[in-house]
Amino acid sequence: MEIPVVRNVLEANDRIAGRLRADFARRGTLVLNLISSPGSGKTSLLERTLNDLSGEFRMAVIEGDLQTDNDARRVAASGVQAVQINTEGGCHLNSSMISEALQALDCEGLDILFIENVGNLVCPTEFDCGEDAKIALLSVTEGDDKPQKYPYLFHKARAMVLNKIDLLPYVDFDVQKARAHACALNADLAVMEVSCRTRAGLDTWYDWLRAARKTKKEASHE
Amino acid sequence: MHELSLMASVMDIAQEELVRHGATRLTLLRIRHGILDQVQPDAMRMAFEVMTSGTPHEGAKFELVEEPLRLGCALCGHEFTPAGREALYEPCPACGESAPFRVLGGEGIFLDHLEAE
Repeated sequence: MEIPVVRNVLEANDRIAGRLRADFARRGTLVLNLISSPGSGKTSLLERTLNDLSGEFRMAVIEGDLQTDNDARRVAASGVQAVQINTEGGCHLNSSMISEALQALDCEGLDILFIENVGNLVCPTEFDCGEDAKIALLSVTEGDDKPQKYPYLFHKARAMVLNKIDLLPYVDFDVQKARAHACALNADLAVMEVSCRTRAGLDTWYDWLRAARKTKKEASHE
Repeated sequence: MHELSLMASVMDIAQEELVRHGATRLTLLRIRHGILDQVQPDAMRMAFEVMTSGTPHEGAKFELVEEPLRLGCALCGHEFTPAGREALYEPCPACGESAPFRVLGGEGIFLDHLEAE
């Protein structure tokens, strides 16, 4: 018997992600899914952001890691709510994990929810977590060919944060090449160059966050 | 590494379809995916074998079909299918500019054909 079907393989994940997205839209909470290789500086970017903007926004973080709650403890030191998901070897977060983690958060009046995905440039990109935007984080100590090697993330991301630019004099990282390849399939990609260590460029990132948050809040009132 | 998760979803959907059509044993399963979707054929095949082993579906045929990507030049609007992954970073074949391209089609991972008895 032949059974012709056309069904999205990720439909179960996408269904839960859709419910999360509708819930966040009602609350006006901006949800950002941070994706990068291990060691690019996702947690450092969050630490800076939470400390610098905590007077301005109510924020929370869902941390995804294979093991340990080190990152949740790091970001919780800034005083924001943080919940850790340990995937026990799993290479990505999915919408059902987010749904469960939300039980541990007080989402009332939340302005921005950051999801720090498992350090991995491949798998997290496939699984919608109900976010408004994926943020690709890349650091100059990685190869400048990362966007070329992992096109899907840079195609799907709304913004790319290039971190550790204070190290540019010491590494062979061609910023223009990385930018061009990251934008090859994504003309609208916002690219921001920052150093979490020296704080260079962080204001551009904060302005981007403010604008995205404003758009989300206004949409929730419509 | 996410292929096991993907295959678990595939098997859930396949099982639903079998029940709906009154069938009990898969004989063929076909998945269609875009070249940007990070589907590694060997890992998918292995995941399929692991998940069907010891079940009524053991020995079913597994097919993976790559769907062509459709791109549009952001500058001149020319629509084309790149020859391979390298062509994603080459200039537009029509206007010759190194403009960004928009992805018009050929994305996603779909279960698109089953045969069963």
